[in-house]
Amino acid sequence: MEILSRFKNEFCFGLSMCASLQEGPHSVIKDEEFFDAMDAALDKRDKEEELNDKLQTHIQPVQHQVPVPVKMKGERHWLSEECDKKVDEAIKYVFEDLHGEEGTWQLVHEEGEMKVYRSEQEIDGIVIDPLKAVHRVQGISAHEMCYYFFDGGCRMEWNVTLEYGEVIEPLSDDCLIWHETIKRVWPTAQRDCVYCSHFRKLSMDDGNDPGTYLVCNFSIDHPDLPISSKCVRAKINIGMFCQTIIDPPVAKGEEVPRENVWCKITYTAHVNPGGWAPASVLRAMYKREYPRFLRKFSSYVGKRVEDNEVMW
Amino acid sequence: MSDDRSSDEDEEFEDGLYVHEHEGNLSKWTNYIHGWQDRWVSLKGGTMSYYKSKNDITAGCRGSMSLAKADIQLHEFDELRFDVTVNDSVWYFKAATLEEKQLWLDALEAQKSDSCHAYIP
Repeated sequence: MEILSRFKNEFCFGLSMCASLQEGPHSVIKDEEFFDAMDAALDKRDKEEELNDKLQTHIQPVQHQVPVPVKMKGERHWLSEECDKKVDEAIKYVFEDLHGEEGTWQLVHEEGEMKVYRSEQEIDGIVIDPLKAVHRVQGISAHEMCYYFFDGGCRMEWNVTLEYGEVIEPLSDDCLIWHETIKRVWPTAQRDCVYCSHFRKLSMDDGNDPGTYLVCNFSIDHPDLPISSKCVRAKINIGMFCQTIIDPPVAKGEEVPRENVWCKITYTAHVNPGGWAPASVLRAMYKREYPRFLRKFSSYVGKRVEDNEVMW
Repeated sequence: MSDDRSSDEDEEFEDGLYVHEHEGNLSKWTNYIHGWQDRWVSLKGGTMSYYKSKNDITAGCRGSMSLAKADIQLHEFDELRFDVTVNDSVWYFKAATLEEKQLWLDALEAQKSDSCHAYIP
């Protein structure tokens, strides 16, 4: 088995030496073949993991009230103002009406509580579809969801696509600059990304909010990390917005049992992968990968917190 | 993969599948200003991660890399030093003693081959 995978490794490596057979301006691979190659590679990768969380349906009134950011923790730094801006922007994206006059959002995936919407956009032939996913998970608070999304120590445990991640500059307790590389999926070139990750508590301003939190990850230029010849630099702007919802009945003054705690997630992503990957392939990829990420990450957090006290 | 382990499996595989998990202090090169600094380093599930210190684990991780494709190099002159590379990213480490260095190298190799099984190109 190992010999086989080693052979495959070398075979792919050998192929990648031949420029026209991989991602690039002179790629001779047809979109279908490009997709099939990637799809096959990703299918294999999927077998690394088991996904088995069936979500119950759960009805909950829509929250229309827009939150306000609570002041940043810790001292200000050279990206504080940018962080404030990104927090406001993320809130705007989260509460933007999907059925508004833009009318560009389409539902591309639905399973149980999860809905994934996409707005098709290209810039210079590169797909940069803004994406929005809404999900609801039982037994996790908003604080827990955002805490584990922000925590780099567990990232490799739930994100098998990651090859390397390092804090290039810690700015404060709630703000870190990361450099990450993604494992290469043949025939695409390897991607890397330099981004600021910021954790923020929000407030619903009604004095009765069990918890609203946000993590924004947005690309920045950093003098210590010029673009390398080995990677295509992807650009991201991501918001993980979470609200805690408590199911009645919980008597006043009583501890809330975990099964009464729900996390409502709105995940927004603007990703520009750079490079030359065909639009049709990227769209198929996104459609497949985003739901997978949400499923996988939320079940990971569920396992991490199940025996702990709720972190509000 | 480590995240697929249930707690009862844990006991079953304690001295089988997940051998060579290793953690401890190592001296790590940071930059010209701070030079070599003690860091808490952990090896498990085919991943190497480091933290500012053991007590700072709650303050979060400062870096992780998958060891599947990592390259481990010994230093030509400094017999306590070894470098771990993936792509353009290099981490430089120094162990306190030769025995300690050997423990880290053995654990790294074991983790590397372990992660190859989980890694599909």
